[in-house]
Amino acid sequence: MTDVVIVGSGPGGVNAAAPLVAAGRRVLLLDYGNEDRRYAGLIPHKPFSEIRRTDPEQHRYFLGERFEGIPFGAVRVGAQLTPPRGHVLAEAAERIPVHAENFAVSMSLARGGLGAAWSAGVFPFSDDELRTMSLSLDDLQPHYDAVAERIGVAGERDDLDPFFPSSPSMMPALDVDTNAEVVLGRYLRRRDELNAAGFFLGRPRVAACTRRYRGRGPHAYLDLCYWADMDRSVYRPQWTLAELQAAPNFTYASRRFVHAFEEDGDRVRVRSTSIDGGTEECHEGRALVIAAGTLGTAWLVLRSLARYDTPVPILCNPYAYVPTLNLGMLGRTPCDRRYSLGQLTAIVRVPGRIIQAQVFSYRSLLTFKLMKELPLAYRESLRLLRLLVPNFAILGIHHEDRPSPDKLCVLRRGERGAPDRLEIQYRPSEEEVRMHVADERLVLRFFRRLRCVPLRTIRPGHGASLHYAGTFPITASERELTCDRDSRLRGTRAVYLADGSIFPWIPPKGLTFNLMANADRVGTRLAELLA
Amino acid sequence: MPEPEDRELELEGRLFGRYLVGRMPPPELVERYREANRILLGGTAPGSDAAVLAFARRHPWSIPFLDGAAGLVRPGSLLRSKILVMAAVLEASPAFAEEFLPGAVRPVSLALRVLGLGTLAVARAAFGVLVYAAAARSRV
Repeated sequence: MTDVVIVGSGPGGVNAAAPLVAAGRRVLLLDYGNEDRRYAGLIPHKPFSEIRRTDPEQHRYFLGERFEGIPFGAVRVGAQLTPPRGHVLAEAAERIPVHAENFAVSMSLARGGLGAAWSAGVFPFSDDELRTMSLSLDDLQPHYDAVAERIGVAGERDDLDPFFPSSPSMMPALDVDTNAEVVLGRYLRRRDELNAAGFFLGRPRVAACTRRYRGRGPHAYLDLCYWADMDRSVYRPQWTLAELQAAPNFTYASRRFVHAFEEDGDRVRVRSTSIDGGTEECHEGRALVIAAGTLGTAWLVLRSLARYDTPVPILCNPYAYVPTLNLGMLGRTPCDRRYSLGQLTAIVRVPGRIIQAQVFSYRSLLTFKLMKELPLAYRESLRLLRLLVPNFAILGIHHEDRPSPDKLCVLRRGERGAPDRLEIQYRPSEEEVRMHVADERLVLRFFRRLRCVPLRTIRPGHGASLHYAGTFPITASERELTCDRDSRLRGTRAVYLADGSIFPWIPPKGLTFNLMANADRVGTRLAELLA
Repeated sequence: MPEPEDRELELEGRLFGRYLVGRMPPPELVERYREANRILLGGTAPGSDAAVLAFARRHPWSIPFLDGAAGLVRPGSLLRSKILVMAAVLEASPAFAEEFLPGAVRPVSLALRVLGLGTLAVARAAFGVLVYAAAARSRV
């Protein structure tokens, strides 16, 4: 019999599977498993600018064969989900309907889950942050280290070290682009006064290889990170899945949609539908790990426990982005050799908490998408943007999120044969909104001192960061629909959660690396329990 | 024999291409524009949108003014959507890539050019509001 059934091949699923498989447990991973079969093979292994000047087929992947890469609305959520990443969200909304007003919902049924389009930022939680989650850095550090070793992390020990615990296997940082180099240079010249005021800047830690590592990389600086997984340098959960598939005690069952589980004595039964044949299947294991993404997991858990109309919390880091004019770039020619992901990370320390911002440059997402953001004739917009884009430093500002009675997720029973649907209500308090605005102003004040002049603050709306979390939080108190310290769902014998569901609040840091470390902890613990 | 709708799309493709980059796009890009329209913008346009488009096709000189005005008062209009589609088609082709890739200029030149383009855009939009109002009431 299978020891552990895992649902989902995203960052949580594969990182829970890895320690189980290494310990010799028999693991079955059930997955819907959508993949891109159309675009990846079309994209040449050449720099973005060379492709633009030479490849007559570029419209097929830059615009998409159904022109799905031409968005008419404002740039809001998921700008990085280019046509070659479109499969990441495919079919999820039909399979798991979600009704949400003023809350962007992005779910994935792809191989690798949302991790297949992850922006690869590595932001481990600090001990202070973990202690308020009934955990500690002692609990998680071995798993941060194990995951960093597994996925490959590039970074540097710099001023951000106190905010992000390091791992021994860290590779040298990626080279930042000209835009970021200018900002970083100015920061270093004014470092003492900025640090004294609570502002810290450094190179981001990125889940990417800067040298040949586990058959991947090194990063070739082609500026195609939003379009293709060149040399598999940037981490995707699929890379771990491929490693796992080489193990005899691991089985990957793709094209399965899992819709329920139940416990019976010392076993867990998992019910799924075969996507291709439509047949119903039942899989048994001694334990179940659900890593279907926070919203997918909420749907599956509430449905399986028949907890319709029962609200659970929902969290998602509020997010704003601010194009700024980097005056230090004026007259400089940007270097063509670059990567497309976050170039710098900034931390602002305020009493009792932090604010985090990422600095990006804009180029490989194409200029026409920015043209519609300006209220000008397109011809003038194009000419202006050609002049200004190399001087843009775009800030993405993240805020923490905490539960409140107005941030809820409920499962409703589907009527007349329709699938059950989640309903999300997400209304931050006025005080929270005021705090976000004040925090953004504070971040921008610091960037003005680095000669980055803000042009406009864009708040893409609730849910836009895609950092969904907090539905079944780890708590010390024995409340139903919560998890214990092992991430075991209370009221079950052996059902564990290994995605964002378990975080009781979320610091203003990307979740993915943290949920991978917790998934590794879940897998490690289960391997011991099932020995 | 092409359908009337195809002929209109072909004409739009050529006009919008020349408007955006000052050169006539080759037939394969006009065909790509036509295909993108069929997929993305099929269906009946609202009366005023159809009238503005028809006006733009009859009077190509008006396109910069209509576009400038629409950017201010009707950013989601069909005219804007169609010009954006042509911009996307041009940007994703090697022949026109250079017109979309950023270029570095000296700070003084940058300031002067931004000022000039800004002034031109405002003037076009101001006159364009009048042209747009007339176009929206014109025959389809």
